Amino acid sequence: MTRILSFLKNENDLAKRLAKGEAKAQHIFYEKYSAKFLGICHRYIKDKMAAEDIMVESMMKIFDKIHLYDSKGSFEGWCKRLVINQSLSYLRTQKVFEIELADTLELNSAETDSLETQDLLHLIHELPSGYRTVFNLYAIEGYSHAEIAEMLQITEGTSKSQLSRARSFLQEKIKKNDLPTTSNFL
Amino acid sequence: MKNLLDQHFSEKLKDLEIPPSKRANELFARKVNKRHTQWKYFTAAASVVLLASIVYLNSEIDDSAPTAQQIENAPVESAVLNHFQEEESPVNVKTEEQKFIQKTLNEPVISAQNFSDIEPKQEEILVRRFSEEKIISTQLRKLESNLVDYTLVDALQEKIEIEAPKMEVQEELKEKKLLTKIVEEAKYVANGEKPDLDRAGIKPAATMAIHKNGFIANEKQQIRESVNRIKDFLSK
Repeated sequence: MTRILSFLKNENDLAKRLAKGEAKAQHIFYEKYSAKFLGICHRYIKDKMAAEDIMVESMMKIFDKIHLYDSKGSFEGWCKRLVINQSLSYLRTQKVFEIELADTLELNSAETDSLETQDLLHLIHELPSGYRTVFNLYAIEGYSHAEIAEMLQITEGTSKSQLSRARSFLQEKIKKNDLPTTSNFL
Repeated sequence: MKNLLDQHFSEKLKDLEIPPSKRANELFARKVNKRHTQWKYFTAAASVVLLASIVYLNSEIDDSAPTAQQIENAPVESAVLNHFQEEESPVNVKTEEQKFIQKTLNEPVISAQNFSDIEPKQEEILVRRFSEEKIISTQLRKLESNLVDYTLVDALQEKIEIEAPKMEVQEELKEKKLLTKIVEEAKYVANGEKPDLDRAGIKPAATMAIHKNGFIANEKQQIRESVNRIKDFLSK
């Protein structure tokens, strides 16, 4: 409990110092969250360099809009939302929502349990950008189809179909065991 | 019930952390330094403009108020003197009087014995001259009597009283507005925002120079104190 309280205190304290524009607080914030935010960006943006650029831009956006944080919810959650929005903004300039037809395959847990994090990330990157975006937002971030539709300016039906096709694509890839032999993410 | 595939991906990727490359770290450092440098330049520029405005206003106020030496050296001016200045100055009156006396002395004496022999035209001239002389002497006496108790301080006081009312009300209002604007802008700065002279409506020194009569002498101290308070607040 004390650890949670101390964590909360640190998070709010950091937010206050960022609001004052302290350079030291900004560097501490980067050291603490840059890896996590890059993980989020890279899930949406396949190109790692572009993902890093968007991560840094997201940081600058957080510093600019820190005065809008009302200390009610989680500070990390608030920042993550900004990072996701920044990633989506980038994708809007790049994206083409592709619709592919694929058969739905059944997977058992044994097939997926053996997959490492990097393998799963690779599979995500294999998805077309539209499928990848919806899959990230629904399956990993936990947004509803209504929220996704609002964020991406699409219909709920499109969101649902994109998700369905993303799942089909991933299942097919897993079935075929189409995974990278080397990792180039680090 | 959550889809098995979704669940698996979520568990593995939700808290995924990827350390940024050196390139990303340098990019971040560059962007942060640029933000702070711009902020410092802006703050320095704003401080210089504010100081320049204060120095300029101080010099304007000092110029308008007479110093002790200026009071001492100031020429005597008053409405009393101005009344006679249009016609003749005391110096000119005396000079003309002297001239008249000199001229009279130079003229041949007309004795009573010969008075009846004087031509009517000459008589008129004499009468006119005598009345002119009388008028001039009367004016001179009046002038001297009025000036007996009239001192230099009285003259300057009269001038100040005539000129002061012009500057009172409007300049007070203008000054209050500027102070209010500075205080309001300081609140924005305290909240972490960058100061904005346009938002505050504070004009640079060059523009304020056009309105050089915008402040009155007895508000100078108030402005100084306000600016010092704001500087202390910004430096914290």
